[in-house]
Amino acid sequence: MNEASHQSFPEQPVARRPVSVESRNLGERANYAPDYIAFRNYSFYYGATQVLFDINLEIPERQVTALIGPSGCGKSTLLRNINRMNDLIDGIRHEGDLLIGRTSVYDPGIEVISLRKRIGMVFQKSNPFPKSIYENVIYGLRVAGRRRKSVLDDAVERSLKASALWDEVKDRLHESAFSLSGGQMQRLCIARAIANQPEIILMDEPCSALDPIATGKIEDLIHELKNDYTIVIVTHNMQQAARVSDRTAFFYLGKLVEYDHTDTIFMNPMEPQTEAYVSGRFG
Amino acid sequence: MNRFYLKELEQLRNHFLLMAEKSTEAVANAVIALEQSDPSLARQVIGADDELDQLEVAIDAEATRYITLRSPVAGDLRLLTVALRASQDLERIADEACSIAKRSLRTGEIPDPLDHGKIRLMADLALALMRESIDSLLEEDAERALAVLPKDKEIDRLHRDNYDYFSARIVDRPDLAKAYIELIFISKSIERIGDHATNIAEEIVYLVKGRDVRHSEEAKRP
Repeated sequence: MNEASHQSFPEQPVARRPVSVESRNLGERANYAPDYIAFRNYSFYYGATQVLFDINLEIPERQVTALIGPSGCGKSTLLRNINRMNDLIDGIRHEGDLLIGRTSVYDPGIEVISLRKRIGMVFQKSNPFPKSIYENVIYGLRVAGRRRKSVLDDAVERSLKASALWDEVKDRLHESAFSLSGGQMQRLCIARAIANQPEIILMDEPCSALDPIATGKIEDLIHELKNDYTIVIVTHNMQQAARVSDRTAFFYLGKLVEYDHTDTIFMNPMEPQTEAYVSGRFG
Repeated sequence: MNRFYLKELEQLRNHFLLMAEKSTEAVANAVIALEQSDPSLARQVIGADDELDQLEVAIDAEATRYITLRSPVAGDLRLLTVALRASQDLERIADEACSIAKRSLRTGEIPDPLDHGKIRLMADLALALMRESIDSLLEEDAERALAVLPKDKEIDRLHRDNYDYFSARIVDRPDLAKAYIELIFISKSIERIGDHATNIAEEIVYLVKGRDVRHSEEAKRP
């Protein structure tokens, strides 16, 4: 996306919809928290460069929230702030606050390591460790000091079943993870993420390197996982956002332009920028 | 692979079949209300129209949502376009049933017995076409749907007979002119129901074969 193409958008996009979208179709989920992850007047800088501008966004518990927008819009930065992955970069700073379960992730009493244990992450390119399938799944548990074989075996079976991979690998758990197909490796990474029983799973373009069949399996898996986990997914594939998410947030130039139920964003968005982006008229 | 959202497509299909069933029932009851001068049954048909309207709105919303969010292609996409178009036909069929029921309330007030001409014959044929169209959807049988198309001509012929017959009755019994005019309109409603049933059959052919037979020689074949 070049600067010229940006000019077709009205200037100063701002979110006019309420930042907290009223919940619906929640069925029996009585204890659902609509503001489980909450960005409050949140801005973020890489050195002198501001990449997120005054974001106010409430991400509901146990639903799938998709972050969409053109490259450089800040969606991956936003995602990586949820587990403070960006802390690893020199010169970063933020303004405002980011809360998970009403507690600031920047609270001095919060240990970053324990925060990250609560948040699994799946990346664009599957990144299994050069170990067996079994060892990949329980890697986090081993690091946490879990040794009992029965506990580890249970975790492997539970995680691989939850990631819809168990039936395909149960007879070769001790083979190298690199023997799996691309789609299987990505599901293995999801199994590894959920073995630690996190509350949140962050996904950064999890299907961009996969074929349509493997993508379909991951999407079905995301649909299943939201019963137990809060999922935030960054995707360039708008059809994927439409298919898998309950809420969609559209970002442009570091600003949250619009946030609403996914069907509203794709069928009747309020903002002209959103309309242009989701209908492919961007630029 | 059975994608998680395919159940939404199944729900839409079920809504369409429910609408088809209720439209058929409305036509059958409207004609019985006419024949038996049964105002209670006529009002039941009129009252049920709102539910059918709501089903059409629901089908529209479900189909539009599915097309927008689920990226359907091939047979799934055809089912959605068929549901959008054919539910309009079903809604119009229900409107015609409602119109028949309203007119039956007026003819029912006439103390003299009315000769209904070939209305029963037409209604049976139109109902048969509707059921054949719906069954061809259930069985995804394009040949069965194609066989529906020429039968509509028989309904058109019966309507012309009715028109001539009721016109002659008006000349014979000018005191019953209003009632026979109602019967001409009822006959026309049934003729339109036949047209809509035929439209649905054409849609089913498109659904199953992916071939649009509307306005084609194939559709006109006897």
